[in-house]
Amino acid sequence: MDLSSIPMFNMLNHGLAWLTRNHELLAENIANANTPGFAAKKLAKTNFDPILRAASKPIRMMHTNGAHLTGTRSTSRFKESTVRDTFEVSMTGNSVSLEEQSVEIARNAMQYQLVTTLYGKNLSLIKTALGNRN
Amino acid sequence: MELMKAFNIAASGLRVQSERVRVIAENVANSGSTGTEPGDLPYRRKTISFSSQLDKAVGANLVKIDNIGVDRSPFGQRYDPNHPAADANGYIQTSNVNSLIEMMDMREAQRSYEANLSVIKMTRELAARTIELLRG
Repeated sequence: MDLSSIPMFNMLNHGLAWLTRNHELLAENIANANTPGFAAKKLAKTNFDPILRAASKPIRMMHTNGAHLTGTRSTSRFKESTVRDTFEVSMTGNSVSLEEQSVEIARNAMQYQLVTTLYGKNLSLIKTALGNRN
Repeated sequence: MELMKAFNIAASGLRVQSERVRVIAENVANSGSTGTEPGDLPYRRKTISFSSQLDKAVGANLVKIDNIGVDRSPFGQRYDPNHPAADANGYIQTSNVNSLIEMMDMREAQRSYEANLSVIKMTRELAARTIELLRG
């Protein structure tokens, strides 16, 4: 039984993947708070409609020849962009505001916890359907 | 597990900020170092800069130390004719370290360090929540 064929779980998976990628991006921003010329990045909001229609597959590089590199960095299927209206840009060209990023990462963490809770609840629904009361 | 990358990223931030504090400590400790002979140069302030680089092993942009250089601003002067390093006019050259600037720099380094620490704590909580899904 493939859980991702159930639209609810597919959506939750996709949501979790987005939140994980966002967490990683925000961690990068915070680590680079003093790097000159570094522009703060953010993740574009994703659209759930295509997910409900079909299971989305991550985009991978074509590998038709043994010498082709597949890349160690998994090509993210989410769109990144630099934050436009930042609080300030420092004299070294760094646009990361530590307070902003900390708030964003906390918000992201709350949503992550919400999605994992929903996931757990749905799993327990399936378990109930299977006849297991735990 | 993708969430683990955040650990590596925050760890690189911690490493870089500690190195920065080390440079600041060096500057502060040597802020009074002058030469011992006439014509000797005093301690020249060190600077540190970072850069963001893609680390292939981790698969994310880590922050690394770009360069530890020196501050080319001019030395100060102090009138002290009895000092062994005094020149013909009785002046010795003092280091170009400004303690106030170093203190403010250290505060900022501490703030960044704590921000990276809280990222690690948060990542740990998220990972624990995810693993808990397996339980019951």
